[in-house]
Amino acid sequence: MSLLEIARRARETGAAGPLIAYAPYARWLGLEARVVEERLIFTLPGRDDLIGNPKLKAIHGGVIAGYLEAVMQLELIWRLEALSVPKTVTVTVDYLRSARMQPTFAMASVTKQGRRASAVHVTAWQEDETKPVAQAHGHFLTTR
Amino acid sequence: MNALNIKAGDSISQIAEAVFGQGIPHCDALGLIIEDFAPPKMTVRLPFQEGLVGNPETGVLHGGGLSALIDTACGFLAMSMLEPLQPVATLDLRVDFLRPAVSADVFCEAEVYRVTRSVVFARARAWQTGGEGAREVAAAAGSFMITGQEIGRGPDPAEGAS
Repeated sequence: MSLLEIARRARETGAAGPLIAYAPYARWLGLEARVVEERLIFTLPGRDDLIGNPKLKAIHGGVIAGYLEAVMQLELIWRLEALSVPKTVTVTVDYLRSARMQPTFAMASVTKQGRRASAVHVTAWQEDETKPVAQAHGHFLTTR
Repeated sequence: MNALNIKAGDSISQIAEAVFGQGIPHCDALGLIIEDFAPPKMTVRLPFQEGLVGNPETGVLHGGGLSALIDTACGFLAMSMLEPLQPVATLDLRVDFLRPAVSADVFCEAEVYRVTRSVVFARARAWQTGGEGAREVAAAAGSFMITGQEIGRGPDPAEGAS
């Protein structure tokens, strides 16, 4: 099944699992997602091989960047009746607090959906949604 | 200049262990290798592995592995240029994806272009090699906070490292 067919099926059934598991990288990170009041809430597990700073046991900044890019892409696929898989143009991440060895949650929003390109932003947090560990925004090429 | 005694082929995690006393698990997981270390520049290689793929139909790599490569190269280089040696924490990182990266190794050259009392500014470019020579796959810029946690002796001033 193509990614777009998987996405269609996921929207119909409300089960995001097969969509999240499509990309090998997402499987490697151990990404999960659940649908809460029609919003996708993602989880990145706190796992030893994701550590970037062993003294603080903090998650690697590149993992956070990859995680947030994946979340933004999946949000786009989930939201749009896309004809093609969104292509990432650029991603900018602001690192706000150390992400420790515990699950990191993330939720994205499509800021602007254009005919050819869409802007998305995402926030990631651990224990406290009001104290995010990182925020990111990205631009993606999409066609409808 | 090379007070850290880095040789081409050393892994990032190995050098971190020599300096910090602990390796870096995610850098081990990625298998990051130092190809060249010549501050204010350094080159790091990300060997290909299946888990880095974003699109299983095309084998195109996910941006995440590239971001981790770039963040590591810039952060490690930044750390190595401080007197005394101390960790840095990424403040922000922007990655522009110029071409799809295929299922092959990726190289990254990082360059630190400004060090202030509190912040290190770096830029990077990432490429893959192939039949037609180097294909640039990403360009990046990042800023890194100097943490002020001294971890070891800095570079020998006589070597002009800073």
